[in-house]
Amino acid sequence: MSLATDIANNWRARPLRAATLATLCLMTGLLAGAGVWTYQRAARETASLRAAWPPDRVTLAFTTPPTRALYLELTRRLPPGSWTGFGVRGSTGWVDGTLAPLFFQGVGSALPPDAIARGERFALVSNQAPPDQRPGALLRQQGTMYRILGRGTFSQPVEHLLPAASAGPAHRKITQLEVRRAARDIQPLLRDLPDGDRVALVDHLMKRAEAGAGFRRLQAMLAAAVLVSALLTALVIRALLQAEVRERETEFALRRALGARPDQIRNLVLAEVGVTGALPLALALLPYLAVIQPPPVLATIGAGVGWILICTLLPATRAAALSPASALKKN
Amino acid sequence: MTPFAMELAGVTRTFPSVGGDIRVLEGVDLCVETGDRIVLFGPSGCGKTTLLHVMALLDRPSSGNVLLRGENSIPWTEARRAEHRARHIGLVFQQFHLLPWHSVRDNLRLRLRYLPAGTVPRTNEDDLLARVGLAHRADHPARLLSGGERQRLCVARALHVPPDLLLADEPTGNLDERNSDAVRNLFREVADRKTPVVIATHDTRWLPFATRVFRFEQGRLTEEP
Repeated sequence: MSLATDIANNWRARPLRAATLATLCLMTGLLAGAGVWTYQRAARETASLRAAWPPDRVTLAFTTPPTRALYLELTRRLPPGSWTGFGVRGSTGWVDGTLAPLFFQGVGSALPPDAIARGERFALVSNQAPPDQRPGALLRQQGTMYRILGRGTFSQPVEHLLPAASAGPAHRKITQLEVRRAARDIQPLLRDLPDGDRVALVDHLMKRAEAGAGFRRLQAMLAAAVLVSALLTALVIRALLQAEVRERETEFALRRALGARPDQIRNLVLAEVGVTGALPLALALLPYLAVIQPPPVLATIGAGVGWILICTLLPATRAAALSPASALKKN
Repeated sequence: MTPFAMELAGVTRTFPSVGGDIRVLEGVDLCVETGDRIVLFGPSGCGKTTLLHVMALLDRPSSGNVLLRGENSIPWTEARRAEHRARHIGLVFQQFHLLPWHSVRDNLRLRLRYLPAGTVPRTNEDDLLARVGLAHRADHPARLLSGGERQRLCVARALHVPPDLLLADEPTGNLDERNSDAVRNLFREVADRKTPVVIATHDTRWLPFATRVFRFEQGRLTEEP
């Protein structure tokens, strides 16, 4: 007598329950596979976008809007001949030009309309970059994607970066010092930018990013659907198993009476459900593993086993913990 | 090997209940030794099954001790109690308690499943099934057996791994006369091999089988002369 016999006989005794369990696992597997596949597609899209993005912008992260003094100081320190601009919408300031002329309608010198066409190089000064953004990350600003090449460092607390007019001489001195440092950080980055960057290419990439955004939204929705459905299915399976454990109390008590240890009863339930659920789950996931490159085999197995454990562990533990004497008397 | 001996000393068992605790066993003292044929005689509901469950280490007494070869089993873990049951105790139930979808042979081997392979002697399956008249039913599912066949299978399962103690709860309670005789004969065979047998019953036809008879009344055990 083996575990296989136990499983086969349990299927024979409760075919409807086994079929329901298998179907639920199959459906969850199909949905999870679709989720993983979509995630992979979105990740590939992002990676290709990142690889193709020209390194033609520099971002400085501020936590308050840059003051006019700061802006002017930065401008002064940038290489000669640079275009300068300062945004009034939101709090994004631009130095040396921009890709989004919208920001150049207020204070500061506006970006000449033909700057983009002429392929100028730009630096972005933004207070909206999250503090944990690292060089290489993509940054979405006012509907436009930017790649962070580097960041200026401000050793002083942001409170020191006050408008020059309202700050005392000491503050002004500190601000100027900080600005000099920031400008010093930017300069080598700008100097190292490759020549001949075509800004037109950025337009194209922006379109691609917009197109990819739809796919990423779909991916996020699918991921949410997978999570919700996996959770709901886990609850349904758990309820099914709890009913089964109640139904099989006498059987478990008999096994205990004949020498089964509590952990052997728990493992029996885990194994029975594992086989009943794991086969359809694997069946549903296999096609996805074939198309996803590289196939996330270990992650899939780990997630599958973890999910089945979540569904099964509580009922299995209850089966193991039941009192054989009480269960035998109940019959 | 030390001869088998089980001693119950001052065993009580109380079940909590809404209307007040129910005391089923009250200071039970009992000693079982090799070769004993004990019949616990008493009406239904007097606590015979509870006492058998305590003796089979399926239940823990509320107070008192259960000594096995001189060792107190009360502090044992569930795993150790289970291992002891698998190795040493044969259980026969009034309700048979078979796995209905498993074959007769699989039911017979159930106790063996919980013992490490090759660590215990076992009776030849075909011989045992022939002795209980189930050789022709070996591969049939247990749910297709008649009441008498089920009880004989239950006894055979208890004997498959030769037990040091055979405990039976109303073993002929659900059987007709002919099947009851067959089961009694099986028990005699076991007892003739000096295996101690404890039978809880209200059936007086078991009295001639016994070397010691205990009467159960209000949770107390009294040995009859």
